[in-house]
Amino acid sequence: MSGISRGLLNKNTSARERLSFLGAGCWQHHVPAVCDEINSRGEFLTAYAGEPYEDKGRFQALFEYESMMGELLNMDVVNVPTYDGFQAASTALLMAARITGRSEALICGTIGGDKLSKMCDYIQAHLKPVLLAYAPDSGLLDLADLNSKISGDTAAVFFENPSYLGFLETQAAEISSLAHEHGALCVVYVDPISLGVINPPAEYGGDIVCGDIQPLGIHLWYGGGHGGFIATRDDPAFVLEFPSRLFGVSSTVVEGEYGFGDVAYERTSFAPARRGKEWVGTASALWGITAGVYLALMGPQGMQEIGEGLLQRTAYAIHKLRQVPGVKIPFNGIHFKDFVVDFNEAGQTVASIHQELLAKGIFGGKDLSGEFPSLGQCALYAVTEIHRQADIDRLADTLQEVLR
Amino acid sequence: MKAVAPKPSPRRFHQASWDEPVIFELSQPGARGVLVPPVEPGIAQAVGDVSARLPESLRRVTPPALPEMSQIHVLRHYARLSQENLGVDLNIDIGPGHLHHEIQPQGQRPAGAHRLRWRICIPCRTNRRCRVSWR
Repeated sequence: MSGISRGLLNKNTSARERLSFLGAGCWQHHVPAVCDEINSRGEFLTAYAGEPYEDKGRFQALFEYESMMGELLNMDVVNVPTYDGFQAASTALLMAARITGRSEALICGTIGGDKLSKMCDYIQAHLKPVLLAYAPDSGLLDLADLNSKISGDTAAVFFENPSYLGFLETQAAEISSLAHEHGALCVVYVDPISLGVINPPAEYGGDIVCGDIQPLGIHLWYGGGHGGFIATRDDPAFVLEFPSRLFGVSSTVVEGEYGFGDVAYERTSFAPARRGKEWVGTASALWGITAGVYLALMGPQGMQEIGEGLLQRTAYAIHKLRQVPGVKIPFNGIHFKDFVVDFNEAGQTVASIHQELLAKGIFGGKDLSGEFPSLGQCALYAVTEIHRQADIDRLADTLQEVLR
Repeated sequence: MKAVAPKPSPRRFHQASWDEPVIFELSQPGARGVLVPPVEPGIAQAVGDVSARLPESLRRVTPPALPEMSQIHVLRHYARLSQENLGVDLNIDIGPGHLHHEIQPQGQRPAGAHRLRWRICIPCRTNRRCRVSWR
């Protein structure tokens, strides 16, 4: 059995064995050894449905995760992780629907196809999703289109910062003001590893903030390393609409001792399920503990430095690829990790270029030709802190060879 | 009537209790758990300080108030918290198999596998020493 499964696994090539520029929501970041050490411990790894009396450690670790995420996001309330960022985004929109009593969600048009599909599946019984146009030269949300589509039916305006296509949404404050003028909520999806250097949405009008914790000390795990977060201010109108578990701290009968446990448990489907807000399950608590370890290791200084370095490496990769004949970078502006590479003038499809890169030991980015047909032959490339200058130079040199 | 076998006496187990502070209380100004290597001079020279070019509305001014800790203190804190936890490895939890637990062979490590470049799907949310995984 072991031999068979090893044989199946060996058919694959890991991103560790090649030079990979794949991102698109699942990035190859450096994982500090302590993250793996802690989430490998049997006490955490195999914990399941314990209660605070024998699983105090898990309750405390997740309370601390929520608190550290709260500091990163400048928000008061953060949930125990949902399955993934897609789930968090879907639930954030349903929370907005319940809070406003409205029936429509306006969603930025540059959102990724997989996320949009999952969100539509999840929200369609309560919310009609409407996509917003974007500017062709920058990818930024088209404010005129937003103005024409927003109405008294709009529960939420949803956008991403950084966007799925990597650029930063610089009109964030204008978008949230417009949402608030119409009584809608502003829901923002963020990459948490950007927040040491980029302002958290709470500072530009975000009401519900969501995202995925995979960048915080979690490997790729073939898409299994995800966990979703949702954050709001400490306003009962918002807090009581979370379906997720929220862990809080309390005093106990022992003087000076901390206790940890569920807050407003009746919201969850663990209480009488018919009265629960949506559904809650065992989800990805192990990754929540891991992300907490990561934030404690990095501290304020580490998060700032890694954010600055990611901005610089992305800018450098864009700078280098711009010099390759036949390659264009369609969206201007500052990017974070991901960026679109345009091969329309190269005379070859993304698929054939990537096949040649593969033969030279490089995983090209994600082919966008199916997901964004209007962009033609474009691909989404990503760099992280694991990429050295020589790696980025090798990509540029190899592309030049391939496109010659 | 057959005598009922005496009930086995409970184990004299006692869980660790570390009286562990909340992580923010362990913060020491200036302590670092991981040092982030700066970009190479070639990158810095080519692109400069990109964060300085962020529009004001997107630039974070106040750093997040995360704890500042050395690596060994982070490790000890979480290792102690793990000792205040009971997993299936140590005792009976409510029904593994009650929901979707699965047994997974040891030694397989898809940690470096990107979902967009992986031909065979092995659903796994856990890591190399995994035996029981969440689904």
